[in-house]
Amino acid sequence: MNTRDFEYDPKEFISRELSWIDFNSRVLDEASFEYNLLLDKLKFISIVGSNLDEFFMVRIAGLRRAALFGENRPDPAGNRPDRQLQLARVKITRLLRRQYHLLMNEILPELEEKGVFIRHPQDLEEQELLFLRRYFRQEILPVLTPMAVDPAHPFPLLNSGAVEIALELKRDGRKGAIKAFVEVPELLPRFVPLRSEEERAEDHAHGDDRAEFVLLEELISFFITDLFPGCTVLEKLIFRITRDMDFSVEEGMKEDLLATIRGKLLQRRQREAIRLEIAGEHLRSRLGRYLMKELNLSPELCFQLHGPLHLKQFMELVSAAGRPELMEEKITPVTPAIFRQYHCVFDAIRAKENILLPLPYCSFSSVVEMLEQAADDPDVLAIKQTLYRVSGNSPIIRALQKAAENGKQVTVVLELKARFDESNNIAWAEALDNSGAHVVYGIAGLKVHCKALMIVRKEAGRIRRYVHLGTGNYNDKTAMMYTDMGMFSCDPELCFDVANLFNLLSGCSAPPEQWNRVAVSPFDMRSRFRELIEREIRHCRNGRCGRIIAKMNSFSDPELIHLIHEAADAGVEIDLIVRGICCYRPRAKQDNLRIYSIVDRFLEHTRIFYFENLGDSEYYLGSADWMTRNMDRRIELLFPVTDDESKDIIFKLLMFQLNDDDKKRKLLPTGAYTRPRITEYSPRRSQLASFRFLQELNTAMLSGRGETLKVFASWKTLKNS
Amino acid sequence: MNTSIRKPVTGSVSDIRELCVVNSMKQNFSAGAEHEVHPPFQTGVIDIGAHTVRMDLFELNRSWQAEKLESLSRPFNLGADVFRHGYISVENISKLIGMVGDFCDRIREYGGSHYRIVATSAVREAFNKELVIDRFREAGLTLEILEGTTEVTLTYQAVREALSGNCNSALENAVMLIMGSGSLFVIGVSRGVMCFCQEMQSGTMRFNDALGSSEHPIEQLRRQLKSQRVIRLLDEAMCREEKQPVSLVIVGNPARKLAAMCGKSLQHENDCTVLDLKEFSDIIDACEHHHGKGFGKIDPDEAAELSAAAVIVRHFFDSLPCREIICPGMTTRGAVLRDWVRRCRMPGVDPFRTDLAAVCRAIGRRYDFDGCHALNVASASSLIYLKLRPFFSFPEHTGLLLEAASYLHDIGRFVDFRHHHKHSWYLLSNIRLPGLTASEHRIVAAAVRYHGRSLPREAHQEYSSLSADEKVAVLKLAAILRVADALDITFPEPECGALKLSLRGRVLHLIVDESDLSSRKYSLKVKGGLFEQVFGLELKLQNGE
Repeated sequence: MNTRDFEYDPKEFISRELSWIDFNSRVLDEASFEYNLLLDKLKFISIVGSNLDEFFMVRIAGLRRAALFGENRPDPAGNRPDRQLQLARVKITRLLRRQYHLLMNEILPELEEKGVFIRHPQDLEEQELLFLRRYFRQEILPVLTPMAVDPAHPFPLLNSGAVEIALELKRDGRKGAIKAFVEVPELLPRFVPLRSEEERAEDHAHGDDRAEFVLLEELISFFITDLFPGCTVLEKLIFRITRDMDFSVEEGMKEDLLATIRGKLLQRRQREAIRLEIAGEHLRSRLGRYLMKELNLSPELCFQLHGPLHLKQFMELVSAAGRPELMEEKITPVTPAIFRQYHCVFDAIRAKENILLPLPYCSFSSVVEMLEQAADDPDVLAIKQTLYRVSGNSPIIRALQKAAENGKQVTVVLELKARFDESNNIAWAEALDNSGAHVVYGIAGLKVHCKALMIVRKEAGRIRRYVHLGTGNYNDKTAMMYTDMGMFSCDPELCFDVANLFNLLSGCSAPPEQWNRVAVSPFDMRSRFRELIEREIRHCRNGRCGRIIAKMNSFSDPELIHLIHEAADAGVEIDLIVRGICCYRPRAKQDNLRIYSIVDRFLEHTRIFYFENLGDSEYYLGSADWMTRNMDRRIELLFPVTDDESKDIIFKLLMFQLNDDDKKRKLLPTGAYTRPRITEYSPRRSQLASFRFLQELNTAMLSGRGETLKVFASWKTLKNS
Repeated sequence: MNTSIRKPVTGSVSDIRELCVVNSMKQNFSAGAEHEVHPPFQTGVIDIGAHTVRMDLFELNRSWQAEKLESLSRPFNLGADVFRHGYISVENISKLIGMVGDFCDRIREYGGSHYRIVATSAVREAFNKELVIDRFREAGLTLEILEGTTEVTLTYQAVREALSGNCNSALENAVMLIMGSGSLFVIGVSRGVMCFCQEMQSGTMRFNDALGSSEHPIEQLRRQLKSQRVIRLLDEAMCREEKQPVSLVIVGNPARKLAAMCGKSLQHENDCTVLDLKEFSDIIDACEHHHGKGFGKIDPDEAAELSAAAVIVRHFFDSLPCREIICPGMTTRGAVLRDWVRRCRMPGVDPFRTDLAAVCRAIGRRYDFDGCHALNVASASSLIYLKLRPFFSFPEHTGLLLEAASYLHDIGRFVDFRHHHKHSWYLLSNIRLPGLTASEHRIVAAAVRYHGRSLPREAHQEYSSLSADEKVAVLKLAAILRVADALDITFPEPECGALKLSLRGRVLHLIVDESDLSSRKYSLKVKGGLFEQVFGLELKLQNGE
């Protein structure tokens, strides 16, 4: 909230939206690398599809509104919204062309070679069509809702993101044509197998591993006349619209947050369309032009795609194909040694005070276990937790419900405004509320993005608090796919801060005048980062060495960018590992500052901040990126790592990343990123090196300190090289 | 920041019932409860100030050491109600109860069984304060209004204790400012003992609340500080020579904020920091000039508070030869807890006794009292009280009350020798004595009123307005005071060691090493009647030789 006023030098910045598209281009590169396995490539294609959807729903929508309503202020890089839209359109077109080229010309053909086919209904044999017709009539037809457009029925409210079929029909014996729409139901599998499961099992027993599918929209389109008896189809096309989902809950709102968000969700279908995707060359057709006109979309927001729509759903195919050999081997996360030594999680934390939990290399089940034990523990008085994005059938929610039912004081700060998870979170809120938990729906005007869990326990009459703080969500599913870092602790000062944080979140208290250990945005996180960076600058200016390593998802806050430029100019050695958006534009010939991006099989999600401070190094973990929204408009938490063992582990993991020649890509002054020049993966690939290191370390920890030191020593070679 | 988290607890019946349920789990730890608890246990102290409601949740371990578990605060402007209109609105009483109820929930979360809810200047000055207490009672909560003298004593003692570890010499000669948003207490400490205490209605936000920001509240504050001539009174009480340096000890939330601006953080209540004079002076200059306007990270409200605090500190800083500026981290909540712990651990010990005596002597000096006589009367009354204590019931702190009455019984002579007992009563009724409750203060004043010949009567308003217990206490104290006064009344020099007492049957023998007892016998005859009536003992004056 306290951004310094200073003039931006556009030369120091890269436009945020363009940097975001570049990040997706790097993700798409993963789908093109020879050394990645086929279904992994398909995953990356799907991820890019999903990311693009969100980009249109939020960022393009926002830019478009800014351009339309005259908020034509340039971004720090000097680009006004209309210019950004223009540049984004060029980059997105290029990205889409590459995405579809890879999918249609490389991945799907290669999959066919491996026996995974996506067939078109018109190419099928009689027998196969008979099977599909039966499936269509039994499973699909009952859930389809055709919507005709005529003078009595205006243009329907189409769902954002759903695949739709538009039709032009002529009723037999009548003049004139009518238009109709059929939405492809999201509840049904997008990839319809051509054989029943029994048949596939039988074929598999005979050595036939073929997996053949038909796309659901093609199947519906093929049998569409069943829906409109007595009509002739003149024209049909498959399309998808994306609506503006960039809504926010107004500042200062005091009414029921739950009701407000429910209302906003109900209005989703009425929000303005901001993208039209059409499968094939149909944009200039009658139906294509009709859609553009009805949706009030200009041509630059309409895309003709040479392949299936809604590529996000291709993630389904990864599992439906049933070919684990076409994917990288799964890792089995390790359970931290200390939790194997102690049956009770609380005893383990007490024994060590701080326990680091790097995900997905270590198992998230320790967190779940902590909650499950707390739910049944008679000594536990209260549980408090923040939730931002929760998985379906979440074991975390189940444990919290159980604890509440067992009479514990359970307080859950559930952020209803988590974008695209609003409806899920409303459902979770109600479920928790029904169990007797005290559910807090976040704070109007600020998103609660911090990840914190606190358990209050009475041990021999005295209170001891246990916390788990993390960089990622309490989501057991993403905990297997994202790299994150958590820390268990019973350090009283840290726990005092976390208790105060929960009091703030539950509306029970104003923020304290001072936090002991942590920094919390929007209160003092920005100033804490400023102090830490300025301290390194001071060291350099005093003729000593300054060193910063920061790992985050995005880096776009203008003040921090300016400060990092200042630090780089002062000679501070800086390594930034920024996975996604990076608006910092490095200066040419500035060797002391390096910015890398790593995109690999696990989504890099950890936020680690290292400040060398003349050898008295300080390590911080947090939920915030260096973005203005994280510093000023969210409740975020930055917490220090103080014990030497955890610091050593974090440093080692950072070093693996900085030495990762397989995946590390450097940001150049032009704004472009280097490409790795390898033909196969080496032991330097940081994610696998991290896993192996932690695996070995964990085994060694069971044998004692000496063995642990040996593991650190043996992995030194990699670091030094 | 607005939250839409829970509906505020209003005054509805269901809400009150809910709070009643909460409260049934707790027990107020005010006086009297100290023998019923055994640490470790968790407890909360809620402090209702003029602008903020705060709670500190503590855990007391087996050796009675307090560890803070949580610290909560919520801004709530009662000051605007009270300092402008004189009372707290019904809506605000309901909101306040809801807020305190929320805080009590936190105590329950920790399985806490004790709490104390105290209110300071805003509720203290509200004319409907009894109604506020009643509404709290209806909600199942016990609200205690801290009298100014109690607040200052608790804080002073706690700060003294905290400083004894960190800045030992700080309270040798010092001026302590206890700054709240509704009131300001000025304390003078000489030779390590409090000798002056004055409450000023100059809280950091008081003028803002009473007048609004458009009425130049800072100017009003400056004017009031000057008009009260508190520096002159301080000098007199401390017997301070010109240019004798003092430590300026600044206590309270605004003080801690000023210290934070100097880069000194006070995270714990035992913390204490010495501020750099030059840097501090610059900071208060900056604050003074930013009244009502946010600067740096500070919003306009906070700026208003800080600038008022800066004006107050500046007034004392410029008027006194400050050797150092000390800011302790002590809060009202911490002070309340420490006081309770002390009472639990050392029942019957009153660490404030020396300070009260010093304050009384300083007041006596202001009214030109006979110090030797006062001291003799104090010694004699103390001896008599100690002799009688095993056989008669006396109210708590009787020794302290007698000492105060002894020192101050003759201050009315400053006005007029005739009816001086009445003048003494009047003066004393208009002076606040730190360390005494309002009831104790009334008892002391009335005892002084009846230290002469006249007996208490229902026709006397100063007597009839007392409660039954207070009347009994006044009778006992006045009876002893009259005897002590009679014994010393003719002595030009102190004869402290000369009095011996012996209680045989129903006769109290007063043995004095003096050959001629005639004048004392006469005085005793005139003034001893009340003693015989109250205690049923005959007084006999004897020569010890």
